[in-house]
Amino acid sequence: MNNQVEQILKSLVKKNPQIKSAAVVNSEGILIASHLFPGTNESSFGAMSAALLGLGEHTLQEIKGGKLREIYVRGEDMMLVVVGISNVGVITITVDSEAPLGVILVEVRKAAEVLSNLLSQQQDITEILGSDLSLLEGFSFKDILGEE
Amino acid sequence: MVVDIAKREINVKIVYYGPAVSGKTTNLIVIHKKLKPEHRGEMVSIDTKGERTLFFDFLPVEVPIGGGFKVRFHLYTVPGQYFYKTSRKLVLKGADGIVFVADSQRSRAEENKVIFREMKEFLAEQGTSIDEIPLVLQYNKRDLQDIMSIEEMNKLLNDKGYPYIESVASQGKGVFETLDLISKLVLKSVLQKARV
Repeated sequence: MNNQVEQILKSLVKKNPQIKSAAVVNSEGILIASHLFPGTNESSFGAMSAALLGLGEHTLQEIKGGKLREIYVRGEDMMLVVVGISNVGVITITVDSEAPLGVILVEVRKAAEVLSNLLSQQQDITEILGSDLSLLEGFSFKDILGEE
Repeated sequence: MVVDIAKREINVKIVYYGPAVSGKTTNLIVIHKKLKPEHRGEMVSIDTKGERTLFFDFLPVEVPIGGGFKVRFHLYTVPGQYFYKTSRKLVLKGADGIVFVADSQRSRAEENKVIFREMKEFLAEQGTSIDEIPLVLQYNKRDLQDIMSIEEMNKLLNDKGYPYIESVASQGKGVFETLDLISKLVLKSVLQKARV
């Protein structure tokens, strides 16, 4: 699934070069896929998207505003737009502050529609591990500690 | 939980919950510091100027489990100050497991109790019973003066017999024991659901 999500993001950025970075975060705040401008930190970008999603949904709930559609954060140089994907997450993009947002948003909304179906699909853990679920039972964080 | 078949990756969310200044962020700082860099991402904190957590701290951690498979743990903390109730509720959403970081000092007993009760209420509102979600209690600050005994801590928070770990997070004690335990409980729960 995530490969398909990555492909959708890649194609979105390719078709709209004004988009500098794009990421998809699910409703639990987990980063599903990203296509980021070099130097952008994936963890930070994902976490900020998750924070905006949470705040946006809660704000709309308070004002009885319905489902989250979009959030805009405009700076002097760059703008960040969060576009809701039904109830399953958001797609976050960054563009130059003066970029023609209308055209870009049409493309992003289209991508969100496709992503909505993809993210709604339940993935089965046994599809990864087959019958060998014992793999999950024998690890320890102590095995991956660095030097003191 | 998110399963990525192509990447052979399982993503789970673990939330460190608890009252203000109980040591939630310290747990994540220790994990970040001690894990090999290839197994953890950058730690992201949305905090105030006084370095108290405003919205959350976030640390992604990756563990290989053999056979080319890996589990990616998304570790979150919540802000402990009482007035950030809404933020706690938002961060708790979709958690696969919870570490409740309690402050062992006698003077903080009531706060532990109030925040624990609040967590149960938020889970219930989100359609999850506290008996269904993997939960580990971490009794932190065991090195300080005037702390409650383990029996008193259990009486205060643990009438159901949840697993608990004693810790001094500021010295790294109990941090990885807690993370190991909650991770195993979360994965066990994932397995049980898969086998149904």
